[in-house]
Amino acid sequence: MNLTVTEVQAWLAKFSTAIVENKDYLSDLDTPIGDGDHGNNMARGVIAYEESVAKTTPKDISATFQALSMAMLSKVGGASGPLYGSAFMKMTKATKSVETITSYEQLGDILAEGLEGIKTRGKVELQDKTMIDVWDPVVKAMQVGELDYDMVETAKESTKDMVARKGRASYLGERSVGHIDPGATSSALLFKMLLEVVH
Amino acid sequence: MKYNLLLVSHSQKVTDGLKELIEEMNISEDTEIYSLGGTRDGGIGSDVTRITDIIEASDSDTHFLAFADLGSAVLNVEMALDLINDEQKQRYHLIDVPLIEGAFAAAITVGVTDDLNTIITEAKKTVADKWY
Repeated sequence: MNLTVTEVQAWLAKFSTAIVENKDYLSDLDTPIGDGDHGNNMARGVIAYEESVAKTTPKDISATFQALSMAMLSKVGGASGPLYGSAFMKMTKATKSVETITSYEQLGDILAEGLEGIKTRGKVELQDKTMIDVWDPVVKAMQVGELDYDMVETAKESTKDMVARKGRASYLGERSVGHIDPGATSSALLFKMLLEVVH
Repeated sequence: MKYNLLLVSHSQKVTDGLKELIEEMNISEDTEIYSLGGTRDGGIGSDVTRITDIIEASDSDTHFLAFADLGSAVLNVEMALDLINDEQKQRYHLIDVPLIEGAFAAAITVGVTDDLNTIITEAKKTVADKWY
């Protein structure tokens, strides 16, 4: 593996495109169990990221993660702003002197920092029907070099049968069952795009 | 030392209304109330950089009491701690009380005392005292 700033920016550019392409789908997922804005919110964030990168041309991986973090924090509006923002801020710190990511283990460890950021900010546990239910298995599989597309998809789908215990969906209790979590879905896009760049 | 209040909600109308409600009271002229509900463009949501911009522009004598209601408003008042420096952290206080009742009580109390514990106690009392 040889991920430099170029590949990392390619990853996040693909992620941005995927979010914009799936904007309506993400908002539709959010409609029955949230306020129906996840797609629009995320799209505002990634568009702000693209503008920021075009303007400042970050020179390393850390600065690239920071650009995404700040775009998410300042433009998303909903809870995914501080959650993705915290994840990428932790990853900004974890890559401070990293020029190139050379192994699955190293990449997994960097993502693990992001996962910690989300857990701390959101006070979330596994099975709460959140983005964590994708991040956690993905990080573990990445660390041992076993992450694949199907695994990401399975993790995302697993949120369908869960009862929401965080965010607005938690007020719905059992009625949240049967709906895939929107944050898990946008996170699945993040990792599917990462796999495209890694492979 | 002065205390300013930061009001954070998903809705600007909520914090605008609360600011109006507070300013009807005879609060200290030194106390500024910031209505930070909604996103920068007035949409539904909240934005941590609206909080940090105010803290970063302040002098070292100014303390901030942050209040939030739900969801990302709460996440964002906490998030601000990750973006400000250690000196600023000493002047930024999260007050975990119901937004409207708590901020209202705190705004009046800061005109009477500088003691943070007293201010927090008064803000928390609003929960205990409700519906006799």
